[in-house]
Amino acid sequence: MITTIADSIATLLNEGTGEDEIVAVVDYVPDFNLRDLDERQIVIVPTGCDWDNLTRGKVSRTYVFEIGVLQRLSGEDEIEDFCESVISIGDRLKNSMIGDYRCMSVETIQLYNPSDYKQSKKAVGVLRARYKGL
Amino acid sequence: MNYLQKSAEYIKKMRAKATEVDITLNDVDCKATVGSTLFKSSGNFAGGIYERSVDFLIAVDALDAMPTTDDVITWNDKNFAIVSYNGEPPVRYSDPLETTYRIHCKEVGGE
Repeated sequence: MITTIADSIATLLNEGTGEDEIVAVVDYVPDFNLRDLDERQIVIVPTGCDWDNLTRGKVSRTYVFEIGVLQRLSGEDEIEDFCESVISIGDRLKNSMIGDYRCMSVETIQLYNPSDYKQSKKAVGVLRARYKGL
Repeated sequence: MNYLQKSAEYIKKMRAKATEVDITLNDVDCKATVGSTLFKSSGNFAGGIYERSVDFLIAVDALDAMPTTDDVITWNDKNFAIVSYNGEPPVRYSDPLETTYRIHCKEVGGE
């Protein structure tokens, strides 16, 4: 199920809104060389599953995904646009329904890291989305 | 000088003889072997990003002090900044007997 939801998240994100079109893929072992980041990369990684008791004997699963947005920027002026694109992905995911699972929360693990930018002009944004079975 | 120290000196001399190129460190002429190191960074992301540094190996006794990130290396008309990758030391010894510095750099453009 977790892989099905991951694929559906990719589909959801790829239903672009025209000017902000993006290409998201599911990647179970995401590794990149720096030159890969000349193009913006958006990867969905299934990272966990939590269990909650709904009633006695009934358990609900919450699947956890990390969505990584990675890009090598050409200048500091692109950081704002990059951050906005990470936030817009969160907007698209929050409250989205995939089958019987609803995105209950999206949190920013990292919008970008100034040290990454200083080192090699790369920006890495990471969101964590939690889909709970209803 | 024990056997290991003699061997380290020999390797240093052979490296110098076979592989050294002319560079400048802060406009001071110097000799170095050019190499590289592959760093993997991931930070807060589940995946990894690989970056390759340009390394300059310089004999310790060729310099007055260990280089720092304030220094600039020039080689083949290109400038290289000394940088720390993933918070690791930008300059380290490349051998246990501390006869050679390994200086991690990135290219920052022409002279």
